[in-house]
Amino acid sequence: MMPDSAHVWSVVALMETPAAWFMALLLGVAAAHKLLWRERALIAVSGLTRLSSRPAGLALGAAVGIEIAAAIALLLPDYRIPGALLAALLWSLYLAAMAYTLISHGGAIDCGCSFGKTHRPLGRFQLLRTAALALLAFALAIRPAALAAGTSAVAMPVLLVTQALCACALLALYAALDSVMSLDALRPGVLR
Amino acid sequence: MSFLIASQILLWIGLIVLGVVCIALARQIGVLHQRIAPAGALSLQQPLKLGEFVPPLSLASLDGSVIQVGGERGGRSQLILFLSPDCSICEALLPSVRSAFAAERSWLDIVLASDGEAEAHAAFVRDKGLTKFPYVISEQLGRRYGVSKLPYAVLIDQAGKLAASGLVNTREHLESLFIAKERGVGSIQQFLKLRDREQASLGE
Repeated sequence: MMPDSAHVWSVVALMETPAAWFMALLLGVAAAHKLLWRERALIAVSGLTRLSSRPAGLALGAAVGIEIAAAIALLLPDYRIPGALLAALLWSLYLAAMAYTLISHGGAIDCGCSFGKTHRPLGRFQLLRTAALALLAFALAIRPAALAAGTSAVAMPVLLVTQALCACALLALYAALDSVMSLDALRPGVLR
Repeated sequence: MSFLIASQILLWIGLIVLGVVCIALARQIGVLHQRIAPAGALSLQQPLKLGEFVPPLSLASLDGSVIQVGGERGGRSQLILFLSPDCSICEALLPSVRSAFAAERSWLDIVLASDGEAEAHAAFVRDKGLTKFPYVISEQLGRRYGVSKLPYAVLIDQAGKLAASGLVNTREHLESLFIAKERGVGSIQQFLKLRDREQASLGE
């Protein structure tokens, strides 16, 4: 039995708030990470943009500001679309900077895009992850109006708790993947 | 309905716990990587110094073809693995040699080397399926690299210079030679010295 489109949209609508909250949490954590480990973030910004320390500091401040603004906007249902657009724009910029660095200078830099200190060079995983985040944010920004209506129709306290837990679970899985991918890679020969 | 809601909440909590457990496990693996001493090939005293040009030497292999050992060889690196049919560690290392050959063949040629009676070596090559590797028998070659213990490996880089060498008892030892070449470190001793220096400078 095929589910009708109304059911599909209602299920997708249920995932909209957790996805927005997940992105808000991720942006908040990323901003906090940049503020707490400012030196590492400055090195990463200099490495990705080839800016000297003063402009790199300004760029870092701007990135943190945009991350915080986008995170707050994503948490507020009325400002979710601008928040998602801001997040999509920011991740697209990160993606472009990483792709440019990878192509022109190789991946032997710490891109600062991992929560832990990583020894793995910048590579396809970081590019794919950032592209996926940008796509998710963009999809949230251009979602159909019917989807938004469906979301507001099911705002029960229990549902909010479930959605908050779902957002936390998505963040935990993201962090787990980040930790696993930060490990030193084995040489291909070892796997055989 | 309440059962469904409760199970939904429990499932999300379970997923959060699972994520946290994965993070903890990955961190532990990271800590293990840092704490376990690097498994590198132990370099022995040898006449040739690391970074020195290795003069080419033409030798006849078991199948009659002439093999150039050392020197510049069209931009390819060369691994010379010294072994012996009566060395059990050498035998245990052979699967790793095959695996390394498959993984690194884009830039690396492997030559097996030994000394002694050709018949015994020919039987060894047949029994162990080593026909795809050139196999040379030369005492002179062993003396050139100061080989006193087996299995011993010498890695010559694409410019014909000695990149790394050492005793290779395990797969990790063998692959440490490739990593040593990539990082520009000649031996496990040199790597440990550099690492200590790096840690000391970070401590300051």
